[in-house]
Amino acid sequence: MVIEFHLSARSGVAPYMQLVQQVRQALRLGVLAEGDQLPTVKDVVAKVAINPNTVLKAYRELEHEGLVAPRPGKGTFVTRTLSDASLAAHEPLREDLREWLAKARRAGLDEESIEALFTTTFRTTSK
Amino acid sequence: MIWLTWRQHRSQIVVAFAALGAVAITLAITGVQLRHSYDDTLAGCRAHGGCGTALAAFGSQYGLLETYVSAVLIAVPGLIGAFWGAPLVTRELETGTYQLAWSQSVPRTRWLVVKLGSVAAAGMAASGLLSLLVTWWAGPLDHAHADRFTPEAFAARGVVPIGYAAFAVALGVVSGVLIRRTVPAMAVTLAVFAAVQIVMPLAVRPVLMPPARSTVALDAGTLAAASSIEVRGSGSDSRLYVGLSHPDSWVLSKDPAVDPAGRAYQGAESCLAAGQAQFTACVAEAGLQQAETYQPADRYWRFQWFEAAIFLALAGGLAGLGLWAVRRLE
Amino acid sequence: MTAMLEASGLSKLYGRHEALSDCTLSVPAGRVVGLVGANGAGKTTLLKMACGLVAPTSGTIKVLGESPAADAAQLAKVGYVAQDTPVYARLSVADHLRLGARLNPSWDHGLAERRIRQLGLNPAQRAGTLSGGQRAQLALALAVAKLPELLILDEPVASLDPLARRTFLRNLMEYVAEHSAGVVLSSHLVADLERVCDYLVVLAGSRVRLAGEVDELLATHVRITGPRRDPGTLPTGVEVIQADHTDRQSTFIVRTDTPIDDSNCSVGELSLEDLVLTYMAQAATEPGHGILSEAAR
Repeated sequence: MVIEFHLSARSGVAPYMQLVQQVRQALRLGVLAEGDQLPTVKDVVAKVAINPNTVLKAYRELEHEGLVAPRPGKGTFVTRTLSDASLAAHEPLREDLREWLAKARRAGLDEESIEALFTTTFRTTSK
Repeated sequence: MIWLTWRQHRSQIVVAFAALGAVAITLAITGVQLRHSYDDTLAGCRAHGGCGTALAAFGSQYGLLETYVSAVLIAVPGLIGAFWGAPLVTRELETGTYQLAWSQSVPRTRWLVVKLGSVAAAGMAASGLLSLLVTWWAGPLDHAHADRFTPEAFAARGVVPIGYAAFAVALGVVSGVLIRRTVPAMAVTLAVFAAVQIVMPLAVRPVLMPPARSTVALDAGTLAAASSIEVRGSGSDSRLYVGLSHPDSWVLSKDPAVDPAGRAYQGAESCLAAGQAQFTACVAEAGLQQAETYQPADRYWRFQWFEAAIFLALAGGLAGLGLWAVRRLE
Repeated sequence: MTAMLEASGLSKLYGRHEALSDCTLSVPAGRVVGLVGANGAGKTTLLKMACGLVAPTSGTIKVLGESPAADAAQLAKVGYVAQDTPVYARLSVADHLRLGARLNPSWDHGLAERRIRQLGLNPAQRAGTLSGGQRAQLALALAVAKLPELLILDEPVASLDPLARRTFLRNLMEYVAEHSAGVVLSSHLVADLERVCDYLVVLAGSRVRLAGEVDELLATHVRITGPRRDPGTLPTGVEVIQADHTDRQSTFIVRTDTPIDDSNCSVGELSLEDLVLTYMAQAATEPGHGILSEAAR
């Protein structure tokens, strides 16, 4: 097995999403590369007490995002890493975010208000 | 399923057959002794004429031992029913293992049929072997007493113990299914078995076939050969009962001696007053008759098989009840 | 596809005591169902009815499309591990495997032996001397080696230490993955349920309070916190499950199909434990009224 998964009970994130995030993290860090095989559902389940459908759901989500693809009879394989293009976008976006945060603090918002503002806007725009 | 039943009851059955083996050895040894003693007695008394008294003495010499042995043989089926039959289902209910047993791919009814059938078969085999041994062992004594048809001996010989064993095991299992707790089920099994063993010879066995009736003239010869003479009551209530010799028959009741006119004879008291030596002559003079109701000796084996069949049928009925009850068990 | 477990108006009366009352469920095949509820709420009764150990007083229950324990073939499709995992104390571990082999036509002896080996159980050891965790694993191995389509487990991990519990669940999920089996599992430990269950049934006061796919239930239930207000002022289409008020503040736990877009309050997600507790508490405060809430498919 190339990578191992773990579930955090306290993260507040749905189990399947945690797996998705862990795969993305592995891709980002270079632990997973293009062409690597993801652990089979059976392997994951044998190591982590988790519903097999959760693993399937996570892999389907990753497939939907274009990161992995199933090969019938063989398993699920990584098709591309997180694109450099998107990595390149991180720095300027981070700068923008820092500016926005500074603005919000100058306007007098406290930490919770900032977080609430961000969360509600994020949710309503991503639906 | 048979394997599981064997595996679960293995130690019980092994212990029982080991005990049976020990009993067999004891009976074999004492039985041989008994036969030698009998043969010696016979040889001795034939040379001197009548054997009646000698055989009676021989019989009473082993009387206590015979009572014990017969009692054991009557008790064994009841004990098998209580110790093998009652816990069959209740142990599984009490330990919760019925949940394991009934979630295998065997329906409850088949589970019970195999368990009940196997244990009943083992019980019948044990009782049958024991009965065979005891019947052999008691042979000389039965000849001496000529009373194998009477209740004390009937239940402890021949094939009826096999029927008793089947009945007792079925009784035990059904008690267990209905009562669901081991100790009460065992108690009920023993109680019902004992009750049946009392009721059977008192109320049922006498009427399995219509009894025969005989009327005998009480002359000097008959009175001399009588096994017992009883005078009951006094004055106008005085009655005479003579125990006539019916070897191997089962005398159910004796009517009091009646005079030629058919009235109950009341003169036994006065004959007694005349003195012991004169008593027989005194009574013989009166020309009396006595009627008895009895089951003839030649019906012995018919009664054995009939009673064994009755108990097997009861066992079958109880088994059916048990199967119905186990389906509704929760 | 036939439902894995279907109940309609199912009730069970023990004398005067109502163990289960008018339960209606329809669980799709292939799910791992978590059955939660207070002690005495009827979980064990429901599970025993599903494997044919107890008969309903009224209503019907169907498992894999048939009556429970209808015949040997149906019994072969369902594996059961009872509470306290009873085993035959005087029989050895190997004897138990032989028991399974002889009483189940679809027995996979290789699978059973592999599991026993993996668990490090000594085949010659008497089952009565096993620890609680080992007994539970033996019971699971017996239930699994007959290759059932559905496994019914009554609080199998309640008395196990954390490692034994985790191992048990891993082995259970392995079987589910390999054979696409369904599971109905009753438990108090919501953390475990979160990991393994994708369908949830909440029993409280002998009634079904909530039944549905976990993902959907979590997506449609939210907690709304804000200034004190009347429940009627909440957006339409919102079903209030629980309402708490102080002088100044109102907290509602609601069920809604559309996202709530109200800047006048804060909307938070519920954890599975919160969800379960809400519905269990609802039963406690309204003993006479059971609100059956079932997720639309």
